[in-house]
Amino acid sequence: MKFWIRNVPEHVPEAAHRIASACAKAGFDPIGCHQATVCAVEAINNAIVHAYREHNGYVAIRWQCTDSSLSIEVADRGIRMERDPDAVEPDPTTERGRGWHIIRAWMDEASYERRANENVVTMTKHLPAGLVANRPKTSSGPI
Amino acid sequence: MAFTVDQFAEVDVVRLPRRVMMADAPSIRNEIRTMVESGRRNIILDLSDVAFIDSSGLSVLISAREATRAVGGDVLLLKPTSIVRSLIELTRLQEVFEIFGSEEHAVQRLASTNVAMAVY
Repeated sequence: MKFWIRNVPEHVPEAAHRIASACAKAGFDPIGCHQATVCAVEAINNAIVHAYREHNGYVAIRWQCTDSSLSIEVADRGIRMERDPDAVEPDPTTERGRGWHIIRAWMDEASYERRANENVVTMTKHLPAGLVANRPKTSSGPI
Repeated sequence: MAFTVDQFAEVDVVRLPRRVMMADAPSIRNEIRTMVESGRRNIILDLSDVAFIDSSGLSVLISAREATRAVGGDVLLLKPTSIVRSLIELTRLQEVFEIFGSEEHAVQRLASTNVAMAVY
């Protein structure tokens, strides 16, 4: 499943709503949905602020669900990330720089790569074991 | 207005909206700065209605703190929901802000600080 938004902050809430719905369909509880949605929003915000800066563009949001996990990709065609995302925990008194820390803490896997002129942030959240066991059997693959 | 405000003598309780994201942050930040510039320096940020906040929203909290502290005031946080509290703790903002579960106690806290500074 995928969709695009323009790189303006006003379109991010719509993306958040769609991502939250996808998480719920994947079987996550409200906390898991919220965490995954916040992380996706952080990646989208980064694309808008850092990759495109003042230029127009689109941010692609793609997700794929398996029986045990949900993977979300946020991609943009802006400038390449200058360096790998910081692994250092941000100073709590600073105004900025928390996005990647949140993503790494609340997603089970997170990575950045430059792929075919796109910046791609891939985040995966595993369904808790109990939820996997209780999840209704549906077809695997994209939702 | 990005939010509503209730005034209690020298303390303002800012009722933040349900959503505090990147699109909302500039207006909230600017309105708080306007309050501070008009002399309102003791502010309680009521988070009880906030259902979704991202790091842009957290930056607004920090910005408000910096603005009020620059003029001898302060910002307290009030009644974050459990999900918002989890983000606050993940980003260690509980080391930076006092967080209250009672509006009365938060108002008393800032009011007493104000009195102490006036006496001084």
